[in-house]
Amino acid sequence: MALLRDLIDLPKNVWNSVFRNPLPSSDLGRSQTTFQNLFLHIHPVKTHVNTLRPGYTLGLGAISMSLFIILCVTGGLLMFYYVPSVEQAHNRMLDLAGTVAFGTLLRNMHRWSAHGMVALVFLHLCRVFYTGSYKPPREFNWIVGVVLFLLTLVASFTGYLLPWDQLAFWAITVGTAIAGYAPVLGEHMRFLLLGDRVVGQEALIRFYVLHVAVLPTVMIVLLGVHFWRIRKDGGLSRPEGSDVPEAQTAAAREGKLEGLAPAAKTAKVKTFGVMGLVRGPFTKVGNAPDNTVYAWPHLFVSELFCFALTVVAILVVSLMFHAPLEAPADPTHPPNPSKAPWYFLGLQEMVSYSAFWGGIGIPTIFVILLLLLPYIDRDNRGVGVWFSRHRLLALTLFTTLLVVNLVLIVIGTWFRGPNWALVTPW
Amino acid sequence: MRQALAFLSVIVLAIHGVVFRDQLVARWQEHQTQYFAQAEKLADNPEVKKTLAARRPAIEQIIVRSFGPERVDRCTTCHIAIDDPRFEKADQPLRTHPQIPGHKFETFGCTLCHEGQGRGVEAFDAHEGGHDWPWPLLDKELIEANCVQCHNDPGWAHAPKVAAGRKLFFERACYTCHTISGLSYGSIGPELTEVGRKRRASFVKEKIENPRASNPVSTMPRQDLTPEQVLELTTFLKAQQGNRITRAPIQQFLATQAARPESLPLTSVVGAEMAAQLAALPAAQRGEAILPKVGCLSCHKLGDRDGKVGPELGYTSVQRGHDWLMTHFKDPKAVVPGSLMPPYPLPGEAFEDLTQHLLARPLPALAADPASEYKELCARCHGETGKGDGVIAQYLDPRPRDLTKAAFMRTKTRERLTTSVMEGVGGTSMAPWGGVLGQERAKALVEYVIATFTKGEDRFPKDRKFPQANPVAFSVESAARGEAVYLNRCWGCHGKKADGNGPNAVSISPRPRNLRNKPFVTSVSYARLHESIKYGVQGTAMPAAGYDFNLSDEQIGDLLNYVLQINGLGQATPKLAFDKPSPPIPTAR
Repeated sequence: MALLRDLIDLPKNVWNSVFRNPLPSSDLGRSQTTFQNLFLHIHPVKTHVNTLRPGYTLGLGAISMSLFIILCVTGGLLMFYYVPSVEQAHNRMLDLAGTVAFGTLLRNMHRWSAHGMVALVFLHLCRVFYTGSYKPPREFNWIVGVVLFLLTLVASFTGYLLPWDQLAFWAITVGTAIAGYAPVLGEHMRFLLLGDRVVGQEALIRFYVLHVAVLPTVMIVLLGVHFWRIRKDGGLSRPEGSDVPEAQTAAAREGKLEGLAPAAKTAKVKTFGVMGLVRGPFTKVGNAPDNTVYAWPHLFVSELFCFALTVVAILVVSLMFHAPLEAPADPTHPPNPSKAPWYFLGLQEMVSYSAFWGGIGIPTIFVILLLLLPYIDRDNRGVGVWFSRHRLLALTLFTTLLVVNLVLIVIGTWFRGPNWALVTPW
Repeated sequence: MRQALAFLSVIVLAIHGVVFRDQLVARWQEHQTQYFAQAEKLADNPEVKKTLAARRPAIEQIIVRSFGPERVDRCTTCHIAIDDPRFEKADQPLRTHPQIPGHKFETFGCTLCHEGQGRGVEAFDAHEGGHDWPWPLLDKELIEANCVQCHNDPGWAHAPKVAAGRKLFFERACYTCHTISGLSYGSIGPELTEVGRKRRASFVKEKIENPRASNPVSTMPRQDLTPEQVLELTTFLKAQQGNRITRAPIQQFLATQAARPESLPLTSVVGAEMAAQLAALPAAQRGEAILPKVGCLSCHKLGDRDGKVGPELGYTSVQRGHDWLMTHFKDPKAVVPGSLMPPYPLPGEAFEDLTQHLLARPLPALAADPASEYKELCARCHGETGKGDGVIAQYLDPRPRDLTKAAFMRTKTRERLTTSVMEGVGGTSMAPWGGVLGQERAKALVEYVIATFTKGEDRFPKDRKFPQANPVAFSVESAARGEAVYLNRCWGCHGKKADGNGPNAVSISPRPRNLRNKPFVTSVSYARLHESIKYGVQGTAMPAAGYDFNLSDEQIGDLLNYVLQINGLGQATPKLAFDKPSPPIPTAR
């Protein structure tokens, strides 16, 4: 009898042993769901309503993370078929297209996600800039973010070589040539990166190891730091004064948002305990009414939505457009023009005017400026608002540089023909 | 948000449905199933029927290791019936491949002959290899190009198109500009030794049909070829694949290392058989025989053949002398610096033969009225309407004069224009027509041209004073002063190298003179040069420098001494005045 009951209860018992508490119906349960789950507990228990406004974040961070997950999964699967050898790499690409189940789709997804991630991470950086979210106390997280952006570029660039076709070979030849323009160290850096004076087997294996082992590991660690710092820095940035009850949105006041009690009610009721000691002005501990809702379900549904949206977009794009694959790499027949990957075409365009300044000088200055930005611009007005009037100078400078870079990329992509001469794309 | 999430989830599922449907059923499986079913019907033996019924679709492949790099050909996955003789009438992909003795499919695979992308099992992947694949499925009519990769002895009888294409390569003068390792040594056009491996056949064909289709500034002349000839030439060029399969790398290496010969032996250009016949003939007849075989008429006009690129050859005997012709064969730019014609890679005896023939050739019949003279002699360069846009004008440098331009034509004396017709213009493609027309007919022709094409009234300049000889004796100092003036006033149009290619030259018509055109500079009188600088050249962009820039006669003398110097005509050693180190050009391209 007991055995029968155990058998009947088996699914329930398994479920309960995996998930430590049932689907929550109370505030306590919502808190527990979040902090008792390894994967969820990097989230806060309660999230500010401003964080959930799609118009504020545009979901760019979540979409970038979703792309990273897609890249890890598809990349892992592609590793089963790929051999980093100059004799085999390109043939493996052809086999992937012809004889591997889902091979073309996997490669397309990986390719388009990689391009998408470069673009989305950069847009995320722009969002953080335009809302002034890098200002104290979030300076360090901005730095982590910039480093993650640079790592995204390097990861995409190293992956570019792996198909070992003409496109890959010559893009990397051009791209690494840019590194060679650095004074004194340039040629050494290039040699260290390629393991040779030209792009060849040594470069392929180096790029492969960087692409599949080193960079993902570093990025996962830094992503952990990035998310952890969001919580420790008091959640996402928000406009000044948005924590006081008067600032509660109309929807919240009408009790439409689950878990957000009307101000009068929460005023004297303690709803949660101290989960950690946190510095800084934002994290509220105690009875003060604030403008937060429970992460379960609001934050998680939003994140899942971003993920699903990303998956749909990447799947549709991958079904419609095939990742390019040219003839096998042939070091004796350079295509004219040889172009770097699109995100480096702004650099290549600048290099065509001045090798050192275009390839090394200006990019280095920009990266240093980006890294130092929160320490240069310390005026704390205008945080948490898109295009705040208080930051007119910073906004103008950033937008100008952004537009210049975009224009250079557009010129490099569509307006440059053989011998890097100006051509019209039509 | 939750409804949106639910909606998205449904879409994700739906897309996965599409993905799985695509993956689970492949076209090649359908082809194989179809083949098994049909073969089962045709089989007469129950055992065979049973085996066929039990067969399930599977990817078939041939791995070819004997010819060049390893190939994996999966073509037989769809073309599964290539060795089944019962499917001769079936539709592709299930048709039987004709049996070629000695060529087993298991040894040779498919892509060795047919090209394409052997690893693909989708029709587009396999046949086109994607959009950027350089070796898509080769047209059946070009297939000989790959036969000769192994059957590469020149006399092999089963590749008539390659042999005909090779003949055209010489007859149409391709060899004078293009190098094919071991065959020719031209250096004006791109090397074609591996063109069949580097370029799609469609590109080669398009390039032959219209050289400017892919490169609008190409100077390659467009050839008047029949579709069959285009096909033959394409096949021959597609066959140029370097050491793809059989030619050992060491042979290839030695062929490129072999010293570039002074000239090609006549036997390799016209073939051994014809060369032997020629030996018995007198020189002029030898020239007549080889002239159409070595490529002259793929550019020039002679009799009823017209290459529509170079000048008429029929009147050569009264226009050019023996030395001019011999110099011109060896180095056309020595007599016409802007000439497009390549130096001819033939032995000196062949030049002698050709010269003898051209000088002995009777003149073509010519009607003696100006209108038909213009049509016969002038229109090919100057155009039917005198605009300087004749059929061959685009290949000439300098361009033929625009005869409709009153500002030019009406300000030059009739004597000067008649002289140009009679004696030609040195260093240009304008040949002397005096021997053909004589003084009176030349005068009449000039009158006819002005009356027919040029508008306006005569406006001959008056009161011009200019010295008949250089007022400044040539000296290095004088040339140096001239250089200073040149750098100040002239290079914007005439260019830093004085070759007429200054930054302003692009938008000027007619283009500024190339001052390094030695035959032109020596053929024009000092007085005319001085006048042109001092008073400008009406009808061109040349300003009256004597007034606009306030140059004295002495300064103009210096300037002309400088022009003499850069042409190596002064007593002092010529030097390239502008060969100063220029600012470094960015290397990153």
